[in-house]
Amino acid sequence: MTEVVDLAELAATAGLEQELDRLAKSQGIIRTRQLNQQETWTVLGAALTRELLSDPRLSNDVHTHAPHGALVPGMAVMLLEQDDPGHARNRRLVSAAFASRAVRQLEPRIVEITRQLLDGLGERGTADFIEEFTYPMPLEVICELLGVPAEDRDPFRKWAMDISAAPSVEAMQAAAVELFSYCIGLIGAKRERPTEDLLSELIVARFDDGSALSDAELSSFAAVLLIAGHDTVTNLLANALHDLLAHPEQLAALRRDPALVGAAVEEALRFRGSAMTTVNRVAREDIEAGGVTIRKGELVRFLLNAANRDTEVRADPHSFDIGRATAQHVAFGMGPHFCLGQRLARQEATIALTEILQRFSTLELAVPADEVRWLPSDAIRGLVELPLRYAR
Amino acid sequence: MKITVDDGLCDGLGQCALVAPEVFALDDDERLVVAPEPARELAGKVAAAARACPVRAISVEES
Repeated sequence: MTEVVDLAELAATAGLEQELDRLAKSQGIIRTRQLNQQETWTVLGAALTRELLSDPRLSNDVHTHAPHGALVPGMAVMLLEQDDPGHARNRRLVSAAFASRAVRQLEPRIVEITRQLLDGLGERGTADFIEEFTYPMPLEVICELLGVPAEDRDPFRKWAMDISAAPSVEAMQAAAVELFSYCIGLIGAKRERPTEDLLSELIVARFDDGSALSDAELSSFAAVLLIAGHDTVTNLLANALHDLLAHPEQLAALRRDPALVGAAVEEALRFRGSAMTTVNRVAREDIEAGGVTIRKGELVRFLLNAANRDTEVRADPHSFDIGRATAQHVAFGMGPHFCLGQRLARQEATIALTEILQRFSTLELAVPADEVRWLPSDAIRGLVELPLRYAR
Repeated sequence: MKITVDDGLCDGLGQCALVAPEVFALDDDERLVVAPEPARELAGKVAAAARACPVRAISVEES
């Protein structure tokens, strides 16, 4: 019998990466159990990841092809749970907002937000950097981009946590329903009083044939951009800080040469990216891959963090080394669903690391290294909290 | 085979270049460069590269 792995349970331990490495050494693809108790094929190897992420026999539209596997039945998530040509048609509506030029224009505002939050840390000397920095920073950025009022933001963290690190499938579905109904209200308000932001632009956007997005589609768009737009970056920033602090010689190298920050961000993405697992795909027909037969209708997901620790990506994959040449990592996926927000995520991470290291000459974990707690999530790799000691 | 790229849509994400590096490459400014006359036997890879584009900016006509 093939072993069925509970990823969320494994993720709650610091040993996740070692255990995945052990599994990947014997199989490039394993069985895992997801929150609704459905089993899915889970791809670990880098070569198999690249091959199958480009395979048109796998569909993202689980609602049509495998409704039993959908985590939130009846609610197809905009872009993530769509196939081309519909996916590309919708993505074109937002791609300019996340293109290189648009993201470069956001730089001064992201620097300003970053500095304000670092000012807020003051001289206290210790703080949970997730609570006080890595959570609010990307949230502020995406909310300004989308046009989400500041006074609405209180429930977002719980929704994001319940969606990515849910204690139960019921909690996840409840959070998705609350988020969706909030977004319906938000779209309604923007329809009445348009503002200068991406959501207002989407409301008036027209496809080539003159048609527009429905309110349900707009709300789904808002929901996915809002959650994917901050939760992933929150955890990426925290993981990057954690891993730099756990490798003092790498931190020292970055302090000596701040121009290495881009390389540090890429290594953080490769070593412990936050979007650990992709959304499910479903096989449209039987597929032979990695020595197994994926049957028509079966679910497949990709454990990108395992692929990024394949020796094919880096000869010594478990060392964190910002100076080492690395083949293309897959932290943002690959192919048609390649992360929409990757330029923004990279820019936020670059600014955050630069500003934090400039501001604090002392930065260290405020708890013993083996006491940091990891999120029990099969989707997101991240920390529960990141208590740091800091001084100017 | 005739390859057309919609420059208004292409954002230099490079997904095509990962699939068919013989035909597609990004220059230093992340602008897409397409090989002028790709060999006929690359048709399958070129089609896969067009499918890999998140905004479907690439279209291919068989000659």
